[in-house]
Amino acid sequence: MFYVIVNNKSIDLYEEEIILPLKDYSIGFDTYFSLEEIKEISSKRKVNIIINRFMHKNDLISIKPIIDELNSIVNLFFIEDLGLTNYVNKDKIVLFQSHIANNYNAVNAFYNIGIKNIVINNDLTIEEIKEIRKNTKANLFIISTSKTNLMYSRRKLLSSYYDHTNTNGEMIRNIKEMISKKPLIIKEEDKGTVIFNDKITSLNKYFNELEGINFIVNLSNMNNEEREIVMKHYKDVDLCNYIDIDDYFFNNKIIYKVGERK
Amino acid sequence: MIEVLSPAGDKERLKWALIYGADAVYIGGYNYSLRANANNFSIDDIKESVSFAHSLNKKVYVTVNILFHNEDLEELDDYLKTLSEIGVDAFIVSDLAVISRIKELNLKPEIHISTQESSTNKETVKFWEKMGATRVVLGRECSKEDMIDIKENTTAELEVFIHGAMCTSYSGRCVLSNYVTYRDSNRGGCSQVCRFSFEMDGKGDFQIASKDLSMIDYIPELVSIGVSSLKIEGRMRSIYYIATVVNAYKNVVKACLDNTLTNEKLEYYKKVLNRVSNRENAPQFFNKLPAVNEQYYTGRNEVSNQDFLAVVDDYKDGYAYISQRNNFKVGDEIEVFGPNLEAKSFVLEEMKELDGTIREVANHPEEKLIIKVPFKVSKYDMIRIPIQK
Repeated sequence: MFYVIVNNKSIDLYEEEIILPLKDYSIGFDTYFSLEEIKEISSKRKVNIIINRFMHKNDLISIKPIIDELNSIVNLFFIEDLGLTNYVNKDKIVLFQSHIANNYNAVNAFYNIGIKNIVINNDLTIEEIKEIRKNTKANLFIISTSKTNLMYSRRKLLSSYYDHTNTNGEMIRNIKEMISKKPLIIKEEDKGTVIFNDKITSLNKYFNELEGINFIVNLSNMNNEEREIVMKHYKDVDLCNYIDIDDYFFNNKIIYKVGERK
Repeated sequence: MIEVLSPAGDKERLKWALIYGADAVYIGGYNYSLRANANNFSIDDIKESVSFAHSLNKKVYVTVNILFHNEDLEELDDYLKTLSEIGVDAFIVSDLAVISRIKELNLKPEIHISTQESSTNKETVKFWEKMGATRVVLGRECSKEDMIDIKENTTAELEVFIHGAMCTSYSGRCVLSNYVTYRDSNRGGCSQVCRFSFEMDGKGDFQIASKDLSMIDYIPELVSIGVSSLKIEGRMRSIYYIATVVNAYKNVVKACLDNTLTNEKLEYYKKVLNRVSNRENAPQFFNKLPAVNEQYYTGRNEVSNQDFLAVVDDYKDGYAYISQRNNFKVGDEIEVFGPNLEAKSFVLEEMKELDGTIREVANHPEEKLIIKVPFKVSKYDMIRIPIQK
C-alpha cells in the first residue's frame, strides 16, 4: 500500500492514503495542516497525520488536547517522539523515527509492547530490509521515494550564518559539501533546521522484492519537475528511467561498520 | 550525592579520570560503541577496569549504544552476558533490541538510555522507565524548564551533559556522515560532517558546527534541579584534559554542596576549563535557544594545548620525580595540581636527570627528570603552566 505525505492543500490530487504534517509539530515539509483543516478533511476522506518534531515541555502541554481531538478522527499517527506513545491510541501509532529502526529485534520489541506499525530506516540494504520483513509480524513501512532527511537540528543554522556574515537570505538553500561535492538542501523553520539529500532516494526498482511492506512517498522539497515525475511514477518500478535517483544504500553495505574496527 | 561522570577511551584514561575525582566512567568495548576511533576496551581491559573502579567504590558504565543492524545482533547476547558477569554497573543503550535482550537474559547491570535517543520530555522518560531503564541521559537540546518538568514528573535518574563537544543535530538523527563519507554515524563511524565546510552561492564558507558545551556556570542549578549525574563528553581526549576537566567540575560540585562556592572560585575554574579546551564553549540550550554566538565559524583550526608540562611519578625529600610532556625550563613559573592538591605555583629553581646531571631545559617528551619543589607533591599530580598567567 502507498501513503503519500502531501505537499500542498489540494487533497483531491491524491488517490492514495494521505499523510498530513501537523502544523507547529512537524518539520521539514512544504505544507502543514492545522487541527481545523485536518478535521475538515477527515469529514471527507480517511486521514493520517505525521508529527515528526521532538517534543519539549511546552509542546507537550499544547499538543495533548490536539491529539485528544485527533484520536477519534485520524486513522494513523506517524510519530517521531516516543513520548507521544503515551498520548496516541496505541493501535493508531506508526513509529516514524528517522534512521532508527534498523533491525528485526528492535521492530519486534516494539511489536511486543503493542506498537505494531513501524517505519524502518531507508538507508538499509535491500537484503537487510528483506531480513527484517522475514523476521517480524509487525506492519512495516518504509519511505520509498523522497528527498531523504539527513539531519534535524533544533538550531537555526541559516539565520545564525546570516547573522554571522551580516547578510540576509532565504530559509531554504542548496549547499554542497566541499570535498565530496554532494548536493544537499538546507531548510530552516521556526523550530529548527533540516538537511536533505538533494537527490531523490528511490527504492522503486525493488518494489517486487518487498511485498507486504507499505511505501511512503514524501513529496516535499522536490522542485516542480521532480514532483510531477514522482507523482506520475511513484508506483512504478522504473521511476529511475524518468529521473536521476539515489539508491546507493539499497545495494551497498556501508563500509565503516563497527565490526570492521576490530 | 550528585555524580561526576567521565569519559574514558582506554584503561589509562580511565585510571586518571577516577584518580582525579570522577565518581563513574563510561567506556566502550571493541564492538557496539559509538566511538569506534577511541582505543576502547577489550574484555580483559573491562574486567581489570571494573575491578579497579570498584576498589575505589566507583562505577563503570559500558556503552552498547550503536543502532544495531541485523548482522550486529549475532554476538550481542554473549557480549551482554560477559559484561554482566564482569560486574559492569550499567549498560548505556539506545536500541530497544538491546533492552529487550538485557531483560530477557535477566542481566544485573542497570539500563541507562543513551543521549542517542534524544529524550527531551517527561513522557519520553516515562516510556523508557516502562522499558526498565533506571536512568535516562537527556538530549542536549533540553532547557532548564524541560529538565525541571522531567524531574518533577518521573522517577528515573537523570544524566545531563555538562562539558564537551556538541552534535549539531539531535543525536541519533543525523546520517550526514553516512551520505557524505559512507561512514555510519550510528554505528561508531561518525566523520563529523557537521564540522566540514559547505559551498553556498559559490563560496565555501557555510558552516553548521556548534561551539562546545560548558555548564560550569549552571552547576548549582543542576544540583538544585536534582539531576543525578553530570556527564563530560570526550572519550578520545587526553589524560590531561580528562584530569583537568573532571577535577574542575568535581571541585565546583563539592563547593556547591558544601555551600562554599564563591564567584572567585567559579571564575578560577572557568579559567581552568577555558585553558584546557581547544574550542570555544557556551551553555547552549540550558538557558536559551542557541543562535549565532553558540555556533562555530572558524573551521577546524582548533588550538593545540601546550599547558601540560609533566606528571609526578614520585616525591622524596623536597624533590619530585617527573615524566615530561611539554617543554619548560629552570626559571619558569610552573603550577602543580592533583586529586588532593589545590593548584600551587612556584618558580622552578633546580632540575636534574636521574643520574644527577644538571639540566636547564626539559625538552624530551616522556623523559624522566627530577625537580626541586617547595611543597609536598604526590604521585599522579600534574604540572602545568599556571592558570592565572
